[in-house]
Amino acid sequence: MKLPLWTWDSRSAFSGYLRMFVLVVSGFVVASPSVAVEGPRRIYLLQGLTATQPAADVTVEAFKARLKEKSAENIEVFTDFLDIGRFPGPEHEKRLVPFLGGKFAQAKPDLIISISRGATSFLLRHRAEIAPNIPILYCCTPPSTTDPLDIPEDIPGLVIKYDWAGTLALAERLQPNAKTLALVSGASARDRAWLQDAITGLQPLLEKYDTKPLVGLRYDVLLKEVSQLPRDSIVILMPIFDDGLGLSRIGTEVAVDVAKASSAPVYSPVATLLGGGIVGGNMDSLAQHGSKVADFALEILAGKSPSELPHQTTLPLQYRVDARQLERWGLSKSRLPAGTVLEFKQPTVWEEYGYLILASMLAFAAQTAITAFILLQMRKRREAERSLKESEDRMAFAAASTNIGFWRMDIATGRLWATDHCRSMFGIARDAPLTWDAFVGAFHPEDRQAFGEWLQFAAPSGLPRSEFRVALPGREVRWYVCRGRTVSDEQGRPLQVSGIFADVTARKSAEAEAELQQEEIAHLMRVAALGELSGGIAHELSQPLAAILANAQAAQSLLSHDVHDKETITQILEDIVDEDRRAGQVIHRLRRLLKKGEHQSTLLNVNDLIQSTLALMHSELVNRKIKVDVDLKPELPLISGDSVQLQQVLLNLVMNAMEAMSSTAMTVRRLSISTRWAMEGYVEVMVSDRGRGIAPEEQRRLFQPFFTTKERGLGLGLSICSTIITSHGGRLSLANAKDGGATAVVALPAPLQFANAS
Amino acid sequence: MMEPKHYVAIVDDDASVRKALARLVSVFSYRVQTFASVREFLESLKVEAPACLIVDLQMEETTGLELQQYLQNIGSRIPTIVLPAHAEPGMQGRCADAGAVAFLVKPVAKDQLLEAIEAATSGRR
Repeated sequence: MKLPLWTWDSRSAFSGYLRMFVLVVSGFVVASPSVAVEGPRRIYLLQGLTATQPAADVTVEAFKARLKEKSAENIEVFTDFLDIGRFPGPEHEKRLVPFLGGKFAQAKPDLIISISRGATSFLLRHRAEIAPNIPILYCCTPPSTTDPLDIPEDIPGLVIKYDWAGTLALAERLQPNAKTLALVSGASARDRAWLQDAITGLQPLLEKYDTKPLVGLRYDVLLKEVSQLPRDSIVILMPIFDDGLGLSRIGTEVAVDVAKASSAPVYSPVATLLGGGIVGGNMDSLAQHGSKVADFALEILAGKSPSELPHQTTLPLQYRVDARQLERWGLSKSRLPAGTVLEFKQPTVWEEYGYLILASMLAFAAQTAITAFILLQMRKRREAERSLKESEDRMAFAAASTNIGFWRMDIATGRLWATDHCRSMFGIARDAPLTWDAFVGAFHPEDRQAFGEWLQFAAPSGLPRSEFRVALPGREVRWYVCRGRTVSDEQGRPLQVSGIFADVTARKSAEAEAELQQEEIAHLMRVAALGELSGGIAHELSQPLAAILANAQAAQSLLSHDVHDKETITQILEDIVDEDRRAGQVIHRLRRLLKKGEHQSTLLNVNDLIQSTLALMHSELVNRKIKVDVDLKPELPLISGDSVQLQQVLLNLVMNAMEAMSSTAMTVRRLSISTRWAMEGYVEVMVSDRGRGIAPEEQRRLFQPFFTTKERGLGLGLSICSTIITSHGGRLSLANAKDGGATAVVALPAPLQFANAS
Repeated sequence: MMEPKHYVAIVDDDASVRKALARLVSVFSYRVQTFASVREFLESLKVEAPACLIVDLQMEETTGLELQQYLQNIGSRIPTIVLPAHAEPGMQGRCADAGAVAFLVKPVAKDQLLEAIEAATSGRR
């Protein structure tokens, strides 16, 4: 007798019935434990992913298919989706252990197979409790080098390879003119291990690109950054575990969000991410893992000892690409390397609708027989149209009153309909013909193409939200948000695209103004800070100028004598050049701080920023009799950030420390500034003073705008510093030091482990 | 300028300024010695007192003003030219009170400096 392969999951309605069937059968098993003794052989699959993740089924299905194909034996397959990504941590594991242990005790497995890293790691940890002496296999698990899992020697299985260079090679084939390469990764130690692996793989190719590390960022910042990449950039995505705020993330969901937000194609060699929006990569086939591990399983069931099977087996990689993404980005299939596997292909009209076309031909032949039916349908349709018209009128009225314009397009005919308000939003007269050209023409010239592209995606997938500018002659430019969706018939064939335009100019200009004000205030604070330092800065400039003048006049006098000492004159001129350079550097530092403008991220060495800031403040510190202890850890990893903004933070913190010590005895005025490479991938800057410290009632309000303890302070310094540091994905904290005074700690995420010697 | 060479002391914590001033002053036949700090200069007084002292105002450890006040307190009458890199309001008056014969803000031109040195050294002669 051949039993059906059992399953705990599937998404189709059919599997719903199947699931009921399984429940009924397991109920039966509970009632008759004797079944467990002389039953069929049992294989348990532990899949770490969630059942609804696109990649979760692939391996399981391939496994079952291969088993069916190669063995006539009666084998039951049980699948458990452990959901480890969504429920990380020991609590969930604690629940799983008795759950699985109970199952295994009730129907003892002959073999357990873990799929994915999460499941393998779980099984290794709890094997002794839940499945002692039961053979184990694994697949779809990263090798020890990428993401260390201590897999014992006697457990055979299949490891996944991550071919970063191959993935970039694929991207280069598709985008030969790309200049920017963005590397996207998370913030935890595990994220950094992945990043390190990727960078090692990509190293020889990185030189060609303007590399932009988007690493360890706050999630919203990350999504904003990827949305602002040049259109022809290449984005390489690593699985992200923790974001810049330390929140845990699910890699596959991050991939969906990043791919959706990104203004450039996203690639990754991580097979589980395919189907969620990435273009593709050089990667393992999860299905191949399923069938290969099925081969291993059959060998074990046939009596082979696990230790005779190969360990950490790898399978050949394939270029795998999501056809929908090629279409989205307008990438040409003809550029794909030979042998590329194209997934998620949209079926051709004949493939998809072939049976319908045949059916319509038959229907045509039988036309006369169903005339009556059609007449009936027509009457129904007229009724439906009338009620639709009424509801449309109501909607149009409601929409106009909220400044929303509705539109609809019939896909088959391309005919457009729009509410009167929608027409007026685009300056189209009520009686003028409604065409896409009329709509598109109203858009701001710079946004026309983007709007066209936005519409292109309409038919198959529904439209994401987007914002464009509309410039009507004689009127000011307005911002419209556009949304759309596809209406399909019962067979899922798209019939219409419909959507709305809403005027969001007011919100947009408020946003722009707020951003501008933020920049303006930050700039004014820098100007104010430098104003307070003006005496010290004048000193920094006067010294080299004094040296230049004295040198030059000494040389003039020497030359007016009859006897010239050429060597002395040469030396004097050299000194003048040096001093001029020194003055130039002061001015350069000043200009860097006074620069106005948008946030610009570059790779920075925090130590350099500190040195530059202290150089500007040197005289001021001397004047105030403050000793400075500098303890900068050499070879710090680089951070990604805006040098003007970060220097402003340092300047502010040092000035605060100086002011805090204005009533401290001169002999103990001491400012300590140090850096270190902290745990969890942060570079920390500590600025300590020996002032009076922070009073408990002040602590809570420190970062609030307009809170100040200074007589002439504006109370914006720390709140701006905190805003700047947070926008860099970092933290700013201020606390009393152990031996008096206060310490400010700036922690900035430093994704890259390689250090810069400068 | 064939008179006996007067000894001019220059105290400035900035090495390049020290060097340049020494060059300029010695071109005009003064004997020059430079000191990086007030402490070094005071040490040198055991050997020889200068005919004129040129001192920077803002320096680490002890400032030019503090040096003047100290010299005034011990009854020294070394004519002192203060050479600040920038002048805060009221500073000139405080230096004059402490006995400075001139207060010249850097960068200072040759003629002004020489005039001041000459006035200082001739007064002493």
